[in-house]
Amino acid sequence: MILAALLILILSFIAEMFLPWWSIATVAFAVGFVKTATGWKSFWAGFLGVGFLWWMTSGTIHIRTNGILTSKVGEMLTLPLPILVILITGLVGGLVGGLAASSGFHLRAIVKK
Amino acid sequence: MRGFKFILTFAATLGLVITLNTKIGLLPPLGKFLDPFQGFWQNAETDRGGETATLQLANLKATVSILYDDRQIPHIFAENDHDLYFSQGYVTAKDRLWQMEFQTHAAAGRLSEIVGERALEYDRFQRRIGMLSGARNTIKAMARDVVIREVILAYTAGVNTFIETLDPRDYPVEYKILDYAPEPWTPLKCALLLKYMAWMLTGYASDLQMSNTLARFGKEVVEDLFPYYPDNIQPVIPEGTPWNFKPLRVKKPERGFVAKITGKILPYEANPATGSNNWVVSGSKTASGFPILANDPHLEMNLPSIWYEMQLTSPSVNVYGVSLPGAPNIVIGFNEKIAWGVTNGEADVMDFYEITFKDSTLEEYRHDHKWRKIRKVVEEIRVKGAGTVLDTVIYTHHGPIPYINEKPFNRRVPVLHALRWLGHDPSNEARTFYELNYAENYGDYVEALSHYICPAQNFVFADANGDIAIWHNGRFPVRWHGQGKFIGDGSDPLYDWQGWVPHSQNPHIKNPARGFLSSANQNATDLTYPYYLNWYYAPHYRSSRINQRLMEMEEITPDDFRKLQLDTRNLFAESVLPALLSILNESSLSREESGMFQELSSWDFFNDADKIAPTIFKNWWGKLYDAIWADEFGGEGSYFRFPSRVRTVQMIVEEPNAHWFDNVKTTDVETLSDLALTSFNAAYSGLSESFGDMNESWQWGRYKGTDIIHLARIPGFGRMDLDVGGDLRIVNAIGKTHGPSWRMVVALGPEVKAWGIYPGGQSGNPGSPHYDDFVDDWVEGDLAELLFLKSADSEHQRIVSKLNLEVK
Repeated sequence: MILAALLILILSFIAEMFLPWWSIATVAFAVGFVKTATGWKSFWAGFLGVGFLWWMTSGTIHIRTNGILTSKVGEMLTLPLPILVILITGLVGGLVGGLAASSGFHLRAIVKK
Repeated sequence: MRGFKFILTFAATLGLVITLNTKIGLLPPLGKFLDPFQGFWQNAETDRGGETATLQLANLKATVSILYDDRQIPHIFAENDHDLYFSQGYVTAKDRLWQMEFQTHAAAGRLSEIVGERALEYDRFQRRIGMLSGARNTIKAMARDVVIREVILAYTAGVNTFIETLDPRDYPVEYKILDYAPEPWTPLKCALLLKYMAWMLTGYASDLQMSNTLARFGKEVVEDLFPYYPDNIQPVIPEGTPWNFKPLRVKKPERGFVAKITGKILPYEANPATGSNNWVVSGSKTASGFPILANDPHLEMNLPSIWYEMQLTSPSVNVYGVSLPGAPNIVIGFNEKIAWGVTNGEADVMDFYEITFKDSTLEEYRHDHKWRKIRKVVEEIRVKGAGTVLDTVIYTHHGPIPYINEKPFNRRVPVLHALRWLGHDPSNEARTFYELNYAENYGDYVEALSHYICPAQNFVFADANGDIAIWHNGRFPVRWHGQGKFIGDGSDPLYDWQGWVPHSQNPHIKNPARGFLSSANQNATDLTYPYYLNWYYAPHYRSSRINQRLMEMEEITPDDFRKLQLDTRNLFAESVLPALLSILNESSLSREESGMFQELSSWDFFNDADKIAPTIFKNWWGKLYDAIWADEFGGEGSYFRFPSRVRTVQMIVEEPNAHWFDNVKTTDVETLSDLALTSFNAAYSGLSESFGDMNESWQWGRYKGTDIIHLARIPGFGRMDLDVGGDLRIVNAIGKTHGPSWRMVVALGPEVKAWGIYPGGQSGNPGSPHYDDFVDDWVEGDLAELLFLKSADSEHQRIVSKLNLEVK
């Protein structure tokens, strides 16, 4: 699972250089298809792979820019704390990644049969 | 079973991706928006500086060097004028693209394309007042001017060259929030922006309210309460200035027309918060022996700011000042020889006409004893997520009919109102600013002003030769006395605008004996001026204070003018408060109210941020004014104009027994002193309910809490609750949302020197440290010394980064 998560993280990073944001779903789906053992494991691989990528990237930008936009966007989204913007960023990415990866796994389960 | 799990998870994934890619309500499309690689995170910036960048661009003729100083002001050095305006478009778009597009969409009535149905009524309004057709007329006039055509085309090419470099991840953050993409810039957008300014500054009329008032109260009351010329005014052109010309004649209708009472009226009333100050002194009053000029236009303060500061240099021009993002040239500024500034002229260039139609088909209307055909224009309004809405606007020869009430459609002979606005006419104001940028003396300045039409401004001027001047400048319809104060008779040609005041006859003065000139939106002239321009201008409070100070001041330095811009003396309070305090029955006040009374009695009439008296006074006055007039002029149904503040003060001081003080809705007879007491009680209740008994939160700056909101009202993107003094009708005119949008002081001489600031920052990006970095200094009342470079000296200590544009 760790390996699958890492793979999703790296491939998503590359895909996002060229493709729209939803390419993370395609990547997680593909890795889920070829690389995971169970439905739940595939979900966590996708969740952590994309989630960490999005957490780390947004967190780095947040620190590098002294949170200049994080607090404004937090206020716009009526969040009580700016840090929640980073948390939600990772959760949103993670959720998409997780669902896509488990969907990939379940497709393989049919095909393999 | 396994197939079911796949379908379930696959559908969930797809559904989630689609949902997160879609804008729902006011929320941005969350997946796309939060994506750290392409969403809003990419807009977060660190401090710029220390870098040299080089870009190769098509459409350039030679290399352009752009130096950014420590305030992020671009200083553009081009080898020819084409490249200069190309670069102006390019760097402006680089910092302000979203704002440029949003403002012109707003002007054109195209906001529904961005935000959907909630902007539909606004867009319909913009179309119906003829904004788009006015801009189309203007772009034709600009295209006929070979010089301006090239300037506009170069600027447009510069903006588009920048847009073409953008990848979706680089789009300004507002595009990501509202989920749309920039479209190519066009010359029409430059014209739209200028018409948008014209509407902001001349798009108001109280013709409808005045006609209702006349119909209900009669001529005598109107003449008494709404006089043509107020007391105490010191006009822009000093009293007694001779008019050495033969005026054009105008034919006045014999019979006075009284329009029918109108019910539903659009909000055309002037916003008292929009105004400006400017003044100039000749060398006889300065320490240096050369003129000094100051200007601060009071507009709605937004982020990004309405102004963008820059220096434009080519072999033929070297000018510094503020520009309007979306239009070429410098609008307010200076060069090596001259300086100029503007305040709104406030002449009446917008009239309403009562139109009588032949029948309910609205195909023909009465004019000059004949039936004339209307013209129909079908406006297409694209609405995001809801297709295209068509709206038919009816045009008479006067102009469009902006509002068709549902009911008159059912009447046999409907009566509607047509709008005549000078902004509908072709014009070429860009020519004026262009020529001012290049001007070297008084003659060049007058020549530049001769091209100017709308919105009329008081152009203040000074040059290095020592000349000072002011022109009340624009195109003015020749009116008979009082024409346009009420709704006009749309069928009588004598109510049409019969011609124009020749430019040389516009009110102006050069080098007055008193050594200074000023304007603050007050009456342009005294009653000896042979043309009638308007009956209502800004009250005298700001202009009187400025003149009072300029009269006293000698050996003036630029810093004295900075201090005058910050002057918070409240002449309005000074004119009425002593009278009010003297009639207030102190013995019937509670202990808390006595405390308030003491505050007011010891007030020095300065609206400083830390004082409590201004807050009490404002609340008391608001309640008192309503108590005096609301019984007669307020209420549902018809809509009347309230008498002015100046007239009300005059009545309180000179006519304390006027019958207007009685509340006609009660059987008792109220006196001024009764109203003063009840409104004082009400002011106490209001303030204490909101803030508790008198305490620090009553302090003026905290109470007023000035807000600089984001242009699209995005929460979190503005600067709110600024603790700062001043107010409307005070020289330092900082209100709740409007205020000095640019403060500038220019000292002419062998070496021109200038200072300035605006409440914003050069970057339009909320994720940049330069988005709002001028705001704190602006609140403090500091001005920055403006760096005016003579050559592309990239070694200058204040230059922090450089951008080279090279021919591709």
